[in-house]
Amino acid sequence: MSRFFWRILLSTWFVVAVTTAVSLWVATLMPASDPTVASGHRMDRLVALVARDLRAAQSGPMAGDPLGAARDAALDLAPLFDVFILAPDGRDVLGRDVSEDVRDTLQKGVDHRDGIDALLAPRIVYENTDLAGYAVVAVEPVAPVSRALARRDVRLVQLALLAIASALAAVLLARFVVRPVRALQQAGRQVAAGDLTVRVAPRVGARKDDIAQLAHDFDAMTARIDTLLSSQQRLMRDVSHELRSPLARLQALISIARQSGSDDDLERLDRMEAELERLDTLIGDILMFARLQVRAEIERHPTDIVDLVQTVCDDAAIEAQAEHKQVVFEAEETPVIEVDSGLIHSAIDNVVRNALRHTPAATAVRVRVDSNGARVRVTVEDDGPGVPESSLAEIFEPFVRVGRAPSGRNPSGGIGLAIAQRSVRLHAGVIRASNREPSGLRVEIVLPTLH
Amino acid sequence: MSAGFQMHLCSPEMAARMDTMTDSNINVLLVDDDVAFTDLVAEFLDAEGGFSVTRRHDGAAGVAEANAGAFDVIVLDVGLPELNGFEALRRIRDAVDTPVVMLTARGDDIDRILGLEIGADDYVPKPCNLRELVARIRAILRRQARVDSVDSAAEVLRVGDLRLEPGAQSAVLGDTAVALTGAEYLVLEVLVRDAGTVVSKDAIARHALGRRIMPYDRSVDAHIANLRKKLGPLPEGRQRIKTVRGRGYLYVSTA
Repeated sequence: MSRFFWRILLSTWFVVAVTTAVSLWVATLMPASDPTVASGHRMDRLVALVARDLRAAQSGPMAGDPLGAARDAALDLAPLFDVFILAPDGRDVLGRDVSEDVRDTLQKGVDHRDGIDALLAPRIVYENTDLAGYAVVAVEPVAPVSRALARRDVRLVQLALLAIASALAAVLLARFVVRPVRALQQAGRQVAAGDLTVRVAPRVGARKDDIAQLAHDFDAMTARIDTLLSSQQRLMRDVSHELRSPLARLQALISIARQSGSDDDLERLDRMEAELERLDTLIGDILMFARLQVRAEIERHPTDIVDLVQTVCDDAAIEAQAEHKQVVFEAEETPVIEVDSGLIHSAIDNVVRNALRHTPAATAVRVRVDSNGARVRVTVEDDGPGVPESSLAEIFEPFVRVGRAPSGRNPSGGIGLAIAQRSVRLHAGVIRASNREPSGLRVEIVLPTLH
Repeated sequence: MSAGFQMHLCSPEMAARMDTMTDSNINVLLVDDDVAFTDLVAEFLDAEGGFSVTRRHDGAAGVAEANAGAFDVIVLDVGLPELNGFEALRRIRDAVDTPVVMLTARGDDIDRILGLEIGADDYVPKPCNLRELVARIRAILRRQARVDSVDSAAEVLRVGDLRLEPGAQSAVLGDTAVALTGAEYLVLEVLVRDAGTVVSKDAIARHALGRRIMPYDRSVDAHIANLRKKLGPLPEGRQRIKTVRGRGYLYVSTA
């Protein structure tokens, strides 16, 4: 359960509890009636009636109901007060139940109670016990809720029920709000990870509220991004294809020119071919980077990283010889890990080539593989000029020129390190650059052995 | 019979087919949608001498031509419109064994490996130096000649549960025949011949592809991966073909 869910649940529950408590409290404060002067006067008349009837009853047997008139008067007052006429034995002459609380209050007074009990106790507004054993008591009627709450046992059960019901309501409400939000959140993550086929609306269900609208908007947005990206991809592919066709024709033309060329021409043809290859490599790199940008999943298979790096170094060493540079390779025993070997190969290849490009002639690029069990690290060090500290992260951006690159015959790294970074990140790995003392650059690639 | 004389009598395509009999010419089927490019390749091969080139510009026509004609080698572009190069290759492989060289865009490792998996014999990056293309074609034909010249009564190679019949160019695992492409067969052959010892990638490439291994060349690894997939592990569960770090591959001899 997310924090969001618990927040909504607890705050809803809290609000329900507070609202209930406050409304109960207000209910107890509200007098059921307003004792007025008029009602006081009527109470006096009632007492007079009771007194007269009692006297009549004591002086001789009477026909009919001895307290008939008093009884009628008491019932007249019922809308205002509960008026009890208590016989000497404590029973109401009208046969109504006199609650424990009223008796209790009559005997001991209100003051012996405290807390919520005092608040909920019936209030006696009139009391006359001066009637030859009879008593007339007017009690302010208690709101039904308060009356129920006045009983301790009921109060406990009620509180428990209240807690359960409000908790249930809170849970339902929280789920109602949180579930679609969570679906949206999940979809957002999937989209961020590159999966643009996600749609949320079906998961939100058949609701028609703002959240459903949000889900629909989210889907529309994702679909739009999907369309934009794939059209951009298509454009990249088409452009590269269109560029490659004339390149292939050019290359073929050079091959033909070579067949009949003089020695003088051959040297120029060589250079033309070299430039052409550079252009072709660049197009290939841009295409690869574009593909990696939208790729979210990789195909892992068990790979011996040492073997892979060795292969890269062997290949690079052959090319480095021409510029009197060396590639020195050393490796510790390293576990076989599951990676997309094509991507990791190109990542390491790009980093090694970049190092070779910047290390001065007659120096070596050092490549080292080590492991601590949880991760495998490939370190590539050169003796080049390094990179200004503030630009260390920028070298992984495509086509960013950072001071160090001697432009001219060998222009800056271009897009190679960006490809490396993207490939490593797809493996949940880390690639970082740091400067060496006294000069040079160190690039580390760290890959987790478990994924 | 001179080539020039034939040209007067028949269409160039007819001539190309008849030339297979003379052995002097290498019959190439070139399938690429870029007409100007195929014209240039044809011009180059013509100047090089010893080639006759048939050109087709879409996958369907290429497949039809490949399956009907007798070509020594087929050069197939991956990026054909509609019926793409891989699909065309599949359909060609369903019908004939003619060696196929795929033209693939550089930097598309996945494409290359996929081509080799379907049964291409080699690939050449495009744009490419046409001399390189010619070298690859010659290498494949040399290899093919070696395969063809093997006496069908030649020795049968056996390692554990695997039997290779060089004459029939087939591998048998227990009682089941395993279908291998020409290149895969030769990779397996060179490994099995020296079972138990390490064979370098370069030696494998020379034997199976008829050429040296190139930098950044993963074709041998791709063929090995195919073989591992097709042959499965040894009966006791171990990998049949071991990678020996930095040195090459080894077929595990069970003996």
